[in-house]
Formats: sequence, C-alpha cells, structure tokens
Amino acid sequence: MDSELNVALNDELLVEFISESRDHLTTIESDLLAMEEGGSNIDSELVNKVFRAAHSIKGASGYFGLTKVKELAHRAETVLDMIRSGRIPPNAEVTNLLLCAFDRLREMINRPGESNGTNIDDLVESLTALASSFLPGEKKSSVWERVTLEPQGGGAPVMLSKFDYERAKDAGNRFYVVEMDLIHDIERRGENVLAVFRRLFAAGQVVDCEVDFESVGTLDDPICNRVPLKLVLATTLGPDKIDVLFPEMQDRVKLLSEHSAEAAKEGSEKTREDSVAEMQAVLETPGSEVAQAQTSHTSIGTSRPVKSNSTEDSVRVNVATLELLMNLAGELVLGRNQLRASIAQKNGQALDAADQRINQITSELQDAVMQTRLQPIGNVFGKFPRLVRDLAASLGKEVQLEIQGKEVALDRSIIESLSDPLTHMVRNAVDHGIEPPEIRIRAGKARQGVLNLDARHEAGHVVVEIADDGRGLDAERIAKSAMSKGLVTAEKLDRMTAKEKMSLIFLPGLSTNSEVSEISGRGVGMDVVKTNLDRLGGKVEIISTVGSGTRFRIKLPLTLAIIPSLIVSVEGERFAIPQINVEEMCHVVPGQGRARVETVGNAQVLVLRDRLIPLVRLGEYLSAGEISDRRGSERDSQREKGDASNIVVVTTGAQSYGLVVSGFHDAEEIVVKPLGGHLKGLEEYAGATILGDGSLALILDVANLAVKASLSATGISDTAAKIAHEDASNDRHTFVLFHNPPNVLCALPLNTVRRIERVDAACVEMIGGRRTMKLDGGLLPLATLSDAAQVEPIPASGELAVILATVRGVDIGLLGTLPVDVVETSGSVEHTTHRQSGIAGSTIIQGRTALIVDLYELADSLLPERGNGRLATERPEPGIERQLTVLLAEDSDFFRSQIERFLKEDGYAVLAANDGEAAWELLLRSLDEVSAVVTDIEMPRLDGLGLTRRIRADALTAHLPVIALTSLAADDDAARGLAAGISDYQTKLDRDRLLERLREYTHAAAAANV
Amino acid sequence: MQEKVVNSEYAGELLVCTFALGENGVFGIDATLVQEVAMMGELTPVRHAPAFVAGIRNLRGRIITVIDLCERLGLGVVRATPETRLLIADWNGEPVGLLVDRVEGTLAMEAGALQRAPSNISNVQSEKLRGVFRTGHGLAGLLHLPSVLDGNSGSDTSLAE
Repeated sequence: MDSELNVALNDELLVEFISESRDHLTTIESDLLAMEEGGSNIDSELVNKVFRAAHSIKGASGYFGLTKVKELAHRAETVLDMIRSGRIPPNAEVTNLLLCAFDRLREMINRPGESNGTNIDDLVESLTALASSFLPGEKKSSVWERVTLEPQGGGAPVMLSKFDYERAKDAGNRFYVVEMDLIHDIERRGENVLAVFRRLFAAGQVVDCEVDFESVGTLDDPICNRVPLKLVLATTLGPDKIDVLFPEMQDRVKLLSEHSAEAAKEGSEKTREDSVAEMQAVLETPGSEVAQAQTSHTSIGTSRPVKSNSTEDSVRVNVATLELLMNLAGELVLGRNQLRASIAQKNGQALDAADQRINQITSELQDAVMQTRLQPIGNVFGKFPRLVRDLAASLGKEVQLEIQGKEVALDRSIIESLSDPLTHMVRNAVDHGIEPPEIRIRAGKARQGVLNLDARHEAGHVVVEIADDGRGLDAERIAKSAMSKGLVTAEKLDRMTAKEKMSLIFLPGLSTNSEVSEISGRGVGMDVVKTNLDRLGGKVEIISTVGSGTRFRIKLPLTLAIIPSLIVSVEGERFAIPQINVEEMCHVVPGQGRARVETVGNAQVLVLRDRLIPLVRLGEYLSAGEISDRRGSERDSQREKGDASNIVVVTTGAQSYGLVVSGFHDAEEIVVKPLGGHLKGLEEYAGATILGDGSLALILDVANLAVKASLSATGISDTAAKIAHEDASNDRHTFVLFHNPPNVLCALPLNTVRRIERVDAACVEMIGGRRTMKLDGGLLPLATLSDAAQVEPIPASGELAVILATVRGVDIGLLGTLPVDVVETSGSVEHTTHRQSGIAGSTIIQGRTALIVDLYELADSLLPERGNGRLATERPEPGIERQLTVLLAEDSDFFRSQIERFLKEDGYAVLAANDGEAAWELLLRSLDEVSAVVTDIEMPRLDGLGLTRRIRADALTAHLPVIALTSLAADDDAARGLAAGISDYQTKLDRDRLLERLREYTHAAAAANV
Repeated sequence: MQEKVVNSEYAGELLVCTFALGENGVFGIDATLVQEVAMMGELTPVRHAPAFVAGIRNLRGRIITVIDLCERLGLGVVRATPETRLLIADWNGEPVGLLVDRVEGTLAMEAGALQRAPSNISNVQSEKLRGVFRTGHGLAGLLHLPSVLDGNSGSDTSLAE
C-alpha cells in the first residue's frame, strides 16, 4: 500500500500534530466560553486565537489526509471568521455549535486512524447554515460555492471555497499554489513539515493543503522517492517577495488567478479515481463529500495504526528542571567516585563525607524528579467551565463558576485520579446543590448560583474546595434515610452532630438509591468519591448549612511516589503500610490496659476506648495463601491467640479495622515500585518496595485487603460509627503549653486560661512574701509551680509569661517561661506518676512529657484564706448528714478524674461512668444512693441530653438534680439542655461554681426527702 | 504448524541456553531472550499469588517476579540448592526471573536440527515447546517463552504465531 509510505514518514509527525492539536483544543474551549460571556463585546484577540487554532488544525490535517478533520475545522473556521468580523454574534446557540464541532474534532484527532469514517455531516450542515444565514443575500451561496483558480504558467487548476477566496481576496491577499516534494524539499533538508506549516501560518493563510499519493507510485514502480505536497497559500506578499518563504523553489511557486466557477465540478470528478488508497486530491463539492470519504477512509483506517494514547504518556518538563536534574546526576557521579575512592583507601572520614554528600544529592534529586511529575491542577479544572455551563443549561439553572488556584501543582498520578471524583462533586453541586433561579429568588438569593473551585497549598498538603451557595445538605434527612436503610441505628443517630450526620452520605449503600439524592440533595455515588479520594490519601470534609450552601474540602498529599510508611512484620516477613492509612498502633496485653480483644459471634474485635474495631489477623490471611517455602527458613509460627497482640488500627477512610501483626518496625519513607505482570491481580498489595537493607517488603493496600479478608460486611455498621465519630473525639483537649522552670514542660487546659501576657521578670514584685505584679491598674497575685510543687524556681530575670486565670472568682497569674504554645492532643492523662501538690498529672504532648498544672491547688497555696477556709465554714458537717453520692458521667479521662477528685475532696462519694449508657446502668443499680447527677453533654453511646431525658422519664429518678458540664457554655446548648430537663449548666473545671450549685441542689433534695 | 514455526523463526544458527528442570528434564530457551543468569538470591514470597510465582526479588534496584519454571510446566517445584539459578528474561518489556534447578550451558545448533515436538515430552504440553533437539545427554525441549509466561495455566491457545 503506497499510503503506508506516508505513515513511515509521518508517524512521529502525526504524534506531534495530535499533541499540538490537543493543546489547541484545550484552550479553545475556555476561549469559546469567554467569547460567549463577552457577548457582543468581541475581544478580537480571543477570537483570533481560536481562529488561528482552528486554522492550524485545518492546515496540518490536510497534510495527513485527515479529510474530515480538515473539513470540520474549515467550517468552524468560517464561522469564527464571521464572529471576528462581527457578523455572527457569539451567543449561546453559536457557542454550543462550535463547542460541539470542537468536541468532534477532538474525538477525531484522538483517533486519527478512524477519523475519516466519522460522520460530521450534521455539524458541517449546521455550521454552513449558520454561516450562510448571516451573510447578505448575494453572498449566501459563497459558503458552499467554489471558485477555480488557474496557476500562472500552467498546471492543474485549483478549487477553493468561494467564501474563503473572497474573504482572503478582500483582505488584499494573493493566492499562490506551491508544489513541494516532501522528500527532497523537506525531509532531505532536515526540515519538519509542521515547522514549515508554522512558518507559512505566520506569513499568511494556508487555504488548502494536500498530499498527492497518486503520483507517489506503487511499490512496483522502479523509483518512488517523491511525495508531492500541494499547498494553496493566501498571503499579502507580492510575487517578488514570495521566494522568501520558499527558498530554491521559485519554479514551483505559482500565482493563482481567478477562472470561471464552472469548471469546478468537472475538476473534482476527473481526479476521483477508484483506488482505495486515494487521498483527497482535490476539494469536492459538499454534496459528494460523503461518497468520497467512504471510499478513502477504508485505506486510512487500516493503514495508519496510531497509538492513540501515545502522547498522554509523555510529560512536559521545564528546561530549568531538566538542567537541574543533569547537574544533580553529575554531582551524583562525583559522589560515587568519592565513595569508591574512600572505600578503596579505607578512609573512614572520607567515607562519612561521601555519605553526607550522596545523602544530600539524593534528596535534591528526589525533589527535582518530583518537580517533573507535578502538574497544575488547572488541567482538571479546565474542563469544568464547559461541564458547568452545559449542565446548568440543561437543568435550566444559572451558575457562575469561579476558579482559583489553577496553578497549584500536584503529582500527575493524583491529577489524573482526581478528575473523576471532582467531576462528580461539581456535577452534584450543579445538579442538586444549586437551586433553579425562581427558587433562589424566592429564598432571597441572587438569581445566579455561584460555584467556587479553589485549590491552594496548606501545610505540605493541597486543599481543594468545591463550594456552592445552593440549598445545602439537610443533615436530618440524610440521617433519616440512612436509618431507613439500616445503615445506622436510631440510637447512634441520637448522639450524632449535624456534621456527623452529613458525613453519612459517604456511606456505601446510602447513595446507590436515587431517591436519596432527591431527598437529601446529594449522595449519588459519594461513597465512590470518598473511596477514590482515600485511595489518593485524601481526606474529605463537608461544611454545609441548610439554605446557604455546601462546601466540600479535600485535603491531598503532594505526591504518591514516595510515601511515609509503617513497616510491620508477620512471621518474619515484612510489609509496609502507608502512614496515611495508619490511625494508631496498640499493644494489647490481655487483662492489662483499656484496650482488649473480644470475640463477637465468630469474629474478633478490638475494644478500644469507645470503639469496636473488627480485626484481621494478617498472618492467618496470608497463610491462607500459603505457598511452598523454598527458603527453608524457620518461621516463628507462634500465633497470637490469647497472647499479647500488636495491632495496627488502619483506616480506609470509610472504614477502620485492626491488623494483627507480629511486630512493629521503623517508619520509613518508601519508594513505591509496581509489581510484575504476573501479580497484577493481587489487589491486596499496592506494590512493593526495597527497604534500607536491600530486602523487599510488599505494600499493603488496606482498602482492598479489607475486601479480600471479607471485612466489608461486618464493617458497615462500624463504618457508620467511625464516620460519625471522626470529629466527635471527646478525648481531645486543648492545652496551653509553657515551661516552668525552663526545662520542664507544663500544660494548662485552655478553657481555664483567660489570657496570656509577656512580662519582664523585673516587673514581678515581692510584697509581703508574695509575688505580685501591676496589671490593668491593680495588683495581680502571681503563682509559680514551685510554690506548691517540688520543682525548680522560676528564673529571676529575662522574659516571662503570665497566664491569667480566674480561680474562685479571683484573678491570679501563673508565671512560666517562654515559649508558650497552644496544642490539641488526644493523649490520655496519667494521674499517678507525677501527681503532687499543684500538679494534677501528666500527659504526652509532641513526644514530651508535660505536667498538667492544677490551678486550684496552686491558688490554695497562694491564697489559703480564700480557698479551704471558706469551704470549711460552709461545708456541711460530716456526721450530721450521711455522705452524699454523686453520679458522674464524663467520657474524657482527664476531666472525669479531675472532677471526681474535687468532688471527693469536697466530701462526696462519686460513682463515675465514661458514657451516658454506663451512667444509666450505674444509676439503676444504685438508685437509693445517688442524690445528684453531674454529666457531660457530648459522650459516646448516650449523650448527656439523652441521659437526662431517661432520668426525667423514669419515676424513680425524675427527681434527681442533673447538672450538665460543658466545655463552653453556649446559649442554644443551654436551651436544648433545659428542654431535656437539665437542672443547671456549669463550665467544666469551674470547680467552685460546680460545688456551690451541687451543694444547693443536694441540700434542697435532702430537705425535700426529709 | 510446528514445522512452519521452526522454519520461519529459527532459520540459520540457533543459540540455546540449556538448563535442568525437575528429576531429569533438560530444556532450553533461545539464549537471546536471556539477559543474565543470576543466583537465586533472597526471594520474598507473595501470598495469594499464582502457585508458579516463587516470589519477588531485588535485582539491583528493580523488583522482578520470579517464576518457578518447574511449577509452571507442571513438573513439581524447584528445590533450592547451591546450583539453583535464575534466568533473567524479558517478558513484554518486563524482566522476569525464571527459577531453574541447574544451568547446563549454551548450545549452538543448526535450526534444521530442531525437530517437531512429540505430543508430550516430560509431561510438558507441546504448545509450550518450539520443538526438541538433541544434547549430549539425550533429547531436550526448546521452550516457547511467551506461551510459557503468558496466560494462567496450560490451556494456552494463543500460539498461532
């Protein structure tokens, strides 16, 4: 086949053409939309840009024999030209048509081999009709009519669209026909056809272009080293100047002059041969186009096997980055030489230096390579203007899309995988989030909805937000729907916050039903979105208010190629678990500690704090796939049954489970390497990596492992609990950190602190043996930890921090040394080791032990007359009354032990429970003892409100005073609490107020009982 | 069909890498497909992988899949001995390690010396064989590497070429 000759010649060029055209097409879309937005205010620069893009696609496609591409690009170009000259307004209809045309072009260009079989009649017809309808009467026909031009000095006549011809002629152009030989004039001179085209585009317009395969000859011919290329060029250059463009080809450049339009038809008939390999030699009349294409496409379709994805496998790299890589590679070679030399000389010092150098170069190299993989997120955002526009139009909505942070770069693998979830969420936002205009107006909103896409860097991560100002998510409806599907229990819902209920949309099973999307406004396939994002190591968060909009916040890592991982071992084999999947590690010893392993049905679960976590024994799962062991190594086949277990709690985002392993090893940054083709089906592994000692570790894909280990069924209810609990971790405390003395880290619960001041140590005055300082016009008594506890005294010079707190209605200042910090921690509080006067206990913060300061004890030592003295007089005399018992429900270990301690100190017996459910059971068992209930509001299983309702509903307990504790007393909380039957609200750790109120209530109750 | 394959693909001289598999089977593969011969090294087992995958191995920074040729051909498994070797071969652009009991050597022979494989040699299906050839110790089977490495089991039918 002679056309194969062209393939061999052009394969690379074709790929270049495709890649270039794709670039054009990507910008065209947004430009068209911008044109539409601009309306009659035509930005000629913009239109020119689109026009030029269409034009260059047209020009080059002719060269490749892509006749349909050429035809369609040509028609689009005609319309664009008329927009440019203001004859066609770029309204929605016109833009739609052009968008469709460019879509079709993209399809065809992506599969050039099949493009000539594509049906473009509808678009060609619409575009032609559009163009002609805007032309004045006498010129209407020019869109489909042809003119024939005669080359000066003889040769085959050339036919052009009359519209093109007149347009170019009116602009003062002359027409030339150039016959070049691809082999001699271009290839042999080391030129590239596309480069020649680019040069010509700069000088004028390539009106037509064709490769004449007829004259190439067949393989049987003795010589076939000519591939004639015929170009028709319209340019303002005169015949005397035209040589500049075509050096050494004077004889082949001919000026064209107009002939009669009559010969057109004949010309095209004559050259059409029956050869299937025939390329489109001469432009035909539109009517015969179809027949022509059908004959010619068969040959093109089979003879041009172009890898359609070949260009997507290439990446554009900034030259500077490339230079950097080159430099680093050079450095690395030097480093290696240094290393080899020092090894040869057995020079330890030089070895250290080489090690250091290679270490540094490697990190730099890693960074630089990472740079090459980064791509702007705009590549994904780019398609949304079109998507939103089309979707909004089809739904009769008005949506304005705002995009920020297009330039934010992410690893290309992330960019690629991000496309689907984002598209889904954008679609959801337009479909379900933003209301139709009339509803928006009724709701007092602007007619046009706003959809905001925003990407930005945040602390080593990239945050992508999708926000709409639509109707928002109705948490209650989602909750109801989840309950009706049995995904959560009513009891669980009871203690979920609105935010937790919203997170239910990520549950698998909730979203498959289309009803839900109508009710909840969202939800179709959101579980898939979450799963996809989890796979990328992303986290998604919902912020939504009914009536005013929804914001999805996605947090993504910058790259996936190198991931920090936890290395674990099972029976002597090591595995890597990406850190992003690791929630926590625990070592469970039966009978010790709070975490324990229990058997529920035939499944084992880890009871950890308030959670039930299903367990997968990695060793058992793996040995189910036992293979013959060739290494002859002895495995310690000690199974962990009944013994201490090492458990990694892993999360897939939607689900958490515990992996029982033999041992924990280091955390390492690992380079992910794919597994070979024979192992592709093993989804439980995400790849493998080479560890520091050269051995291999398989990387576990925790999501797929869960599926393979058949956890999904038991996991769902847990998923609900987990998702619900994601934000409600009550065990988190916020502490103010300071030092006192400089080497001892101290912590004070933030909610006891009023403010922090910096003072010079010289400001501290000793008056009457007490430290004070002037503040706000008064004297502030100052305390230091050494007043009460056995710690070193505070330094007497330098800058100090004064932490202001109100204890028993008196302001005091706690002195500490800088720096002062505020941290949130979920670490548990240890109450024995460091317990002493003034110190409530200790906790681990940022890897260091921090002493938790007991302000009350400090204040007591500072102001003894105010503390115990007062209480002593008012405290009911023991013996007169029986000791009163208080039921305390509080899930935070820290607060529970604090409150329990001061209640006991005040003479109460305390029954403590760590959630409402436990408190209720305790209450039922000790009905006649309990005289008051002190409860936290936010608790797992049963919250404070629920507990209060039960207490009030039961005749035996209805009379009990219930004092609720909150971290921050908010008015609406108080209202809800009062409705539930709570007697009083107190702030946590306001010891005096709480004791005072408790005394009032218990006395009242005691009096009533008498 | 086999005759034709022999003629078209192995015209001229043929260099064969020969090795032992199982009790007394000697096989060969086209030596041009073998990139190197390596020691077995430390294999990391991959649980739940097909039985013929002996594990994965670190070969100078690349992670290669190691195939137990014995298992793959239904001749038992390769037992680790000091003579066990890995033939590193290219499979669809990916290096794959072929675990063999012992490497015999290389053998140059005329393509004409290759004979049509009997329907069954050492229990190996004939479609996995290019043919048989004579060595100093008797008949050896020349393996057709793509059909040995592709597919899941012995039911390969993709051998038209």
